Amino acid sequence: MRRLVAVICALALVGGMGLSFTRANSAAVAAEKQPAVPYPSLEQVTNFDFMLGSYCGRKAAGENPKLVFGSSELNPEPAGSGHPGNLLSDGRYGMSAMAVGRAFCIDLWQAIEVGAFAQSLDDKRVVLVPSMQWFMCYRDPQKDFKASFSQGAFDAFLANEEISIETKRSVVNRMAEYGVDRKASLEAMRDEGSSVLSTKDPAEFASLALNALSRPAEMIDETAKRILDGVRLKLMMDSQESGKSEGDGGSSAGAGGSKDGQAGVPSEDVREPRSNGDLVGRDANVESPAMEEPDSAAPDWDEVFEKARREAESISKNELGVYDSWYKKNYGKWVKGANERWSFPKDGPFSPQEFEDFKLVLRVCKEAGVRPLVLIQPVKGAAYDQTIYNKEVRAQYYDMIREECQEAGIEVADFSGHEYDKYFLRDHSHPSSLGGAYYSKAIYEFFMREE
Amino acid sequence: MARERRRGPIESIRPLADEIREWFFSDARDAAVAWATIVVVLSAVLVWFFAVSPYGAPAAPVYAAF
Repeated sequence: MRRLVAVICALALVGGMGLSFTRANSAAVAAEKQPAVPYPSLEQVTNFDFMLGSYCGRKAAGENPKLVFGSSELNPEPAGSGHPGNLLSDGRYGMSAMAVGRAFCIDLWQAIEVGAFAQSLDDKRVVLVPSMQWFMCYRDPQKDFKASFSQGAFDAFLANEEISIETKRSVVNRMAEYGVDRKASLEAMRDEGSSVLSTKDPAEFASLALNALSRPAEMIDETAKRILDGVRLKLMMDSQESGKSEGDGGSSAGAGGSKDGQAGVPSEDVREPRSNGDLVGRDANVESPAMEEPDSAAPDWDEVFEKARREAESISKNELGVYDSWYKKNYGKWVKGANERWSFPKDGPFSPQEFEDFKLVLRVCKEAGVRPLVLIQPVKGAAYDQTIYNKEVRAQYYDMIREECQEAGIEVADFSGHEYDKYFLRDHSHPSSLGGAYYSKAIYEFFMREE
Repeated sequence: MARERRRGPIESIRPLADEIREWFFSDARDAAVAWATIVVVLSAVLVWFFAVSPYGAPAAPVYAAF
């Protein structure tokens, strides 16, 4: 008897400690502690509780957060002061651009995230930044989507009643093709109104009964995973923070860090001082809209562009105009690798499947009442011209995206004309400080436009 | 005269093991404390395994830049 009492007491103690531990170490607590992350880590970006917490935290701090969905181009650390993650991420200019995504977050991932965030947005405008690389011959959505899938975002996406069941089914079917099968979750949602006992169709009875039996187990599994993911994330961020405070206070890119073999600008002085100048720049390829009076003055775009160009030029002394660090270390390998490994699949140089996914993102936006700006990024013309993706081939991609947006009535910030702009990109496809300044201006003007 | 067989190492600790088993499954207060301690330690190992160890964490994809 004593043993039984002891075991029950121990279990109660463990349960109580576990509960308080998970409460103190959840993704929401992590987001509350550090809401502004310039470029989320994989653990952060796949944890919707953290991402939503980060959005709400920024909102509560009066930063006026605006969502920018993209992938590795969102990484501000290697870019320089003009990059949106350095210029616009802290709310200095009346809004903060919140990066949602990192490398490997592809169209289908964006469709789910947009649907998940939609109901929490005060201002239902977002920027979508697709990448040509998602559509190219070496795409591997089975690997990329699996690694970047966020269960929490998917749950929120399913719970968004503004999105039709047909669109949800399209997303879920594509997820299954990419190796993340959540068809049962959709079926369970569909079955909520049907009762196992009231149906007379034996096949439907069997399907409903099977779902009714398997769903609780799945829900327990998903909930446990979600809680543990939150705990892992919080502990990881705590350990990074303590590592940083013990270290020499080097990199400032939060948990994102500089990975991916990208070129980088020296980290000092990437955040430029607040300026009080007028909006006078005319370089971005978007129309200059009527501006709403922001809380703070808009960036002095002349100054931003001037500084960004100086930065890019100072560390791009090579013939290509990319950052020297990438040029020396990677350029030769990149051209050689591209020529050895790339070949067009039967269905063409750009994946029709990924293009369908892109249309799916636009469909989700439309149904969820979200108005997107699609930012079309260029790639380094001089580098890609040495591969099978030459100028004519690449034009197919730009046309495809442009035409689809036009058909859907969606605004575009088209920078494809900068493929041969010497200092626009820091490597084969990521923006330099100068390219980042162009992106910043387009993003800023889209969000600050009077509706 | 037959020499007495030497006891093996397992045999030699058997009386002690029996004593411990008897104590562990008894209704003694310190046995109950031992049970509770074991439950706490095993739970801590489980928590470490699922929450702290890298088991189950998705591998970060590798950037394809040759």
